[in-house]
Amino acid sequence: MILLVLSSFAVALTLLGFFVSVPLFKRLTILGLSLALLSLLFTWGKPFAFGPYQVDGISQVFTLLALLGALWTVGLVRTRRFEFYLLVLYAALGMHLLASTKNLILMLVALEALSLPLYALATWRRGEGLEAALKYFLLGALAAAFFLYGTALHYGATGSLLAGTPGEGPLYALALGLLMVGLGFKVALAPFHFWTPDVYQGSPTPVVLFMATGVKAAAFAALLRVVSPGAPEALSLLIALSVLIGNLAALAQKEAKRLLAYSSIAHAGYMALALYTGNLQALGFYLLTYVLATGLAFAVLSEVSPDRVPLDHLKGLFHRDPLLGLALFVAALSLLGLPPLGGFWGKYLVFTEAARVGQWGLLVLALLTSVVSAYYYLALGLSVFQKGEAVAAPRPLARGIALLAALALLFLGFLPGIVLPALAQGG
Amino acid sequence: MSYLYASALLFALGVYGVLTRRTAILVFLSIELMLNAANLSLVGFARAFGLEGQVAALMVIAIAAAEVAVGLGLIVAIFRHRESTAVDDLSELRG
Repeated sequence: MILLVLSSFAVALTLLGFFVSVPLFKRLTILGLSLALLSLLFTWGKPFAFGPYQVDGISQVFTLLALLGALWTVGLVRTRRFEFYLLVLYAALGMHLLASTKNLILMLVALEALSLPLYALATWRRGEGLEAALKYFLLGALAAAFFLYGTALHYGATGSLLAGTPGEGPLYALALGLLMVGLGFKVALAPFHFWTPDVYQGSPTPVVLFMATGVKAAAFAALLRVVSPGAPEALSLLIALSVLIGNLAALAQKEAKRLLAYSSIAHAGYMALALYTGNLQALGFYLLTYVLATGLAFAVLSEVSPDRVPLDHLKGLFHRDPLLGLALFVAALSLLGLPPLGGFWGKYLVFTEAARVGQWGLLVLALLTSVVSAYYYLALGLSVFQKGEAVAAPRPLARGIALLAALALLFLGFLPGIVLPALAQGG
Repeated sequence: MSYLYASALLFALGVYGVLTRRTAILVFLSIELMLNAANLSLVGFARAFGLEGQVAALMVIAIAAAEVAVGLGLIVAIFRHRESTAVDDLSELRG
């Protein structure tokens, strides 16, 4: 049903784009995404399968997050060309497909269906945008090639193109490794993270919001299916590297988008830790709070400037616009994982799960790096209260969504129990 | 077995090309080589497991074509912008 809504809207809007005005086109895109979201919520907890396309709990949780990211991006962006909205719609379609299949070839098709529109979106600003887009494209294509070779070897080792087929032998291990490399690029796990800071800094901020939320959610769904019956040991190495490199490199950053890029690498590490413990409820909740918090941070940044945002430019934001300043503060604290906010429960769930399965080494590393991250998150969050000349001209819609996201983070912080059963059903 | 070795060799050549070439077009060409290496092994394995692998190879060819369309468009845009496709020139973003 979601696939039907998304694909019919995408095809119809491709043709309509040449005839209708851009503001109307934007509303139609929002309508399509909202209808998909409604049909998702309406069929929540009811599995559906048609050939290799399987909507189950995992697919529903991750599609929900991807659609939220897409809606947020479409709502935020200001552009006079309809292609932007169309590309976001196509990418959302790819994300849903990626989260809803076990067939590796279909996964590859979905991976390209979500990546190709994003390569084009990353070029939206010429100049720096082109450099970022070319880096994103070359490394993304490389990741797809690794994924494909992993698929071919998986087929050779097990005789099946379905992810999660049990197998053994060196060929099977190599296949899993290559599949993990391919998806590791997409979720920005170290050591496959090199593109992340450059691309996040060079791309337009609303597009970065989409990359940090939607792409991450969809790629984690695929990663989950690839490693599903018992995650391989190699994943723990990626987790350790991600939390270390992400948090330590973020300490030195002077630019907000680059800082958040490194933070997203570190968070990919924590999410992979949740995946490693095998608790889907923890992973789903962590992703939900991460999507809200990081989306909120990028939404505020995009109201300050669509371009680079050095940390100095954020000073005085609270005096200029109290709502935006507080929203950024809340987002930074939630990413850090301070108690009254949703991010705290996300980290709490992940860390208790890691303790339960006895991953003490990873747990200590994650806790220590999480403490280190307080330095840069507080620098980001508190800079809005300092004296300075921040400029921001937010529109009512952007302010409304920011307020809503900040309230959702607070709500998840005080009453996490309300959404947990729904996520558990998803697992 | 020989098709498997041939495809592994092609894949390794592709990785080597990606790492050593300094022009965006040649890097991209090497990535296409990696895709075709995977295609070769898919078709090779299909001899043992049935048609599924061959169908997959056909799909991959279509995907690769779509990727070429976007990728060459990007490379042309960047060439128009700065009269060069050398990846070493792309170093404005760092820190």
